[in-house]
Amino acid sequence: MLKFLFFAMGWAWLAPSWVGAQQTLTGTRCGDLTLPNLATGQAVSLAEFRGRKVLLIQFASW
Amino acid sequence: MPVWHERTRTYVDDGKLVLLGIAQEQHPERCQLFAQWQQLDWPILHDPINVLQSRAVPMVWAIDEHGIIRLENPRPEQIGPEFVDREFSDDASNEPAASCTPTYAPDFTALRRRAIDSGTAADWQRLADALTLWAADDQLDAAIKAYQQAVAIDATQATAWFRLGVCLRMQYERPPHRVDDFRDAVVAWGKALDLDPGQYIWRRRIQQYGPRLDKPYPFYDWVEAAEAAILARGETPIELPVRPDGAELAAPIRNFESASAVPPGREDAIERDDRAARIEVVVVPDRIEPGRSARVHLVLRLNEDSPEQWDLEAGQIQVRLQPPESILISEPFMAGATGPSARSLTDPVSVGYEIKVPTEVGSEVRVPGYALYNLCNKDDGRCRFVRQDFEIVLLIRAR
Repeated sequence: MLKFLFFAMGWAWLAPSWVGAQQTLTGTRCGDLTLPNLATGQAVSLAEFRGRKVLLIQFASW
Repeated sequence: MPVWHERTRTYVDDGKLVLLGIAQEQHPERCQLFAQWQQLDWPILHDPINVLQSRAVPMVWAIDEHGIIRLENPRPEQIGPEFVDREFSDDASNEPAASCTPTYAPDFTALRRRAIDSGTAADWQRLADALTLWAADDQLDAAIKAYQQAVAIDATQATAWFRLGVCLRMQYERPPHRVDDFRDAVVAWGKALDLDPGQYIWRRRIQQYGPRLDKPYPFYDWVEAAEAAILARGETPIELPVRPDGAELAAPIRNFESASAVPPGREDAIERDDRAARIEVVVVPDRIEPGRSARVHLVLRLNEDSPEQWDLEAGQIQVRLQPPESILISEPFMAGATGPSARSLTDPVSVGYEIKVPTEVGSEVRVPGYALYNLCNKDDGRCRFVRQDFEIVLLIRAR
């Protein structure tokens, strides 16, 4: 099921405040992003990883 | 995700790359189970309300040391030569933007004051988002009220409608399991989709609970295999407080499969139960297109103050539907059972049906039905066989 999702994904774009109305994000700087860690419930911020290369993967188990 | 896990392992182990996941999920434990099954050992964040307002998943961004996005939805083979092995300068085309999520440890009092003072839908949604993500569990009702305030001010706030639905469904899954919360969640998701029909994430959320004719795939058919695989490794699977129900496990179909009518027999004379249990009915979607189908969620739930319990030894719970002519009913759907039955003396019993309406149909279709079940009084041991009538009301979407 997830393999199907991965290979069937279409184009997607973001419309949050740190993206604006652009269709491409390449070259833009992310604003901060803070969400709870799935396992611990503790807040994790994208800013904690500044100084390192990050692969941010948004997905679902369904 | 397993693909990314495998293809970036060397970079991660060498400290050259960090993998960070965001789970678009109503139920976080299901994603935890998935991660455990696939042995994904990187941090995964939970986003139940789609704060990034993504319109599809999966989505992948390669973000450099300066916080600049260098690749969007890359192929795995691009990660090494085009990202990890490259040097980047701080040359962003924009200034750092404001946070797109509520600040951690927000001041709920200040957010509420701002919403009251401004009276804007945006500020009420901001409060609701913060409560949903960061407040204690007992603040869920406050989050619901804040989202309701947002859509009352501006009924075109599609995002607020979607997030309201998420919270209502969360509320439904907690005691006392108010059936109106599930119904209202379905209505809220329907309104969100009416405003933005192309929102893939939102559509999947309602399809999760909807009819098979509308499903793209079975949503959670992997759960059983995942648990078996984890057990085989000698580990304990993450517990799922809310297990996927029949709708969430069902495979899609292209043609409606109707069941044959079952003669009711002499069941009209059976004693009616009006105190021990209640039957909850939720229809997904809340409004059906003519010619299409809906998923009916029936839950038989013992009333909290009832001294009676299911009599598991006396036989299975039976449900009869008496549809009008031209209305098609499917076989009942049960998750992991051969028929409607209770797993314990007090657990609620869930039964799913799918109902297809004809192309030419009025504004409403009513399907009467009844359930037959056995109860025993836990105080004096007396048992009885009873019937409870209910009605499924299908609202038809106007052309």
